[in-house]
Amino acid sequence: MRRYIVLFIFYFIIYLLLSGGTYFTDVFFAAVVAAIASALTAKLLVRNEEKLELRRLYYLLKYFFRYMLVDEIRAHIDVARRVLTGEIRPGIVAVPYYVGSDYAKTLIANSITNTPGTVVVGIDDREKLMYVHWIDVKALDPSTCRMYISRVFEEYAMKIFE
Amino acid sequence: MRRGISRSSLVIVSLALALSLILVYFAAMGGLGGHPSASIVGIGQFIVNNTYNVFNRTYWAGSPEAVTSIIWDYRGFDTIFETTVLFAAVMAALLLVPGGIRGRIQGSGKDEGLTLIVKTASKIISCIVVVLALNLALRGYISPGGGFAGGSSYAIAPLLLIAGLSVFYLVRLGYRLSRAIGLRTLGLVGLVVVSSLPLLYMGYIIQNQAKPGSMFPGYPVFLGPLYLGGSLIYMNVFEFLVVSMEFIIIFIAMFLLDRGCGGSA
Repeated sequence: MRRYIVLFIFYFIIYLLLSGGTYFTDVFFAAVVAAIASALTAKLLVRNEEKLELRRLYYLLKYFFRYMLVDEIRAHIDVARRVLTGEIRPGIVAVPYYVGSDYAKTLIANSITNTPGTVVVGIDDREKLMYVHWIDVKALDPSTCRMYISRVFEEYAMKIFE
Repeated sequence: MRRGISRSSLVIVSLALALSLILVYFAAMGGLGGHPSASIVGIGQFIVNNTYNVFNRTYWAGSPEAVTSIIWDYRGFDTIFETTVLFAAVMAALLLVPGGIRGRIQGSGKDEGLTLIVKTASKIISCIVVVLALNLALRGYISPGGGFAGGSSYAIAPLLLIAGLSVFYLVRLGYRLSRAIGLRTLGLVGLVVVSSLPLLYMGYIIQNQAKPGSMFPGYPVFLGPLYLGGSLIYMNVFEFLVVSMEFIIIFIAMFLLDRGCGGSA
């Protein structure tokens, strides 16, 4: 039941944001659409609804702001400097990960790709390795690479999704 | 496989004949509405007068083909932007082709799909696309959008799931060919009912609001506190159903045909 309610609220907000208004007609149809969409997609999106807790939502929001304000800006400045100085040592390194859920893996991979300078080019789920193209290879040892590239992302991904 | 004329096909043919006769009757009785007024004809007059006017070339398009002149000259921006939208959409679809555009089609036959990241992301995005498409369809009479735009946007959701995961995943989710065909027929019946209801009041086909020369009082614009825009919302909803299901039928049929299991879903 919880997954239906959570997704209902999520879709309701999306519909109102798309409508750009809170007229009665929009609110009414937002509720109708959110009910239909959550009924259709709840089982597809949420396997274990026990995990839908406020604590995880708090970490998700905290991570969003930290990622956008700290990690993104730091990476942008770093890459901008490399563009100007031409100081690059590109290469592909293996980065291990320890999370199990698909959402956590996707969050880590997308966080890595979305910061300039690092791109996930492949994922090996059996070996639990992501292959990352790195603009400045600082280390080759997988666990050191993880320290540089994905440790923070993974800590948050664990708190949010595991 | 040869069969004689079955009873059901006879029923279908006679129903179709009866329906056509009824429609022809209403059309002959003025059910298509009167001629548009001179002020509306004005723009058509302008185009006819100017599109290949060799004597006065101020507004001419240099072509006797008025429709093409409108599409590429008088309303050229519209066509350019449509092309841009389709170009971007196809570019996005090509990104999902396994192995890239030069990649060979792999014959492993296994139900693999793309990487885990693409699978998870396409699941989330396809769910949000559902809400976006319904928003486009339901607000079609308030803001740009409508049933056709909403229905074709909705089709992105199953297409993403086919590309990211597989057509079998889609079928397991409940997207069945038979179900889609049924919903499409339902939408079409809805369109026919809404557009021919005014005929019962001696109005004309696809009449929305009350008009001079017609007894039809018009579809309600307000229903309590709800603003519905007359028949527009029903048209948009049924059109949404028809268009979205048609796309889904094509996708599922194509992918099933491709895998050589036409009848199994």
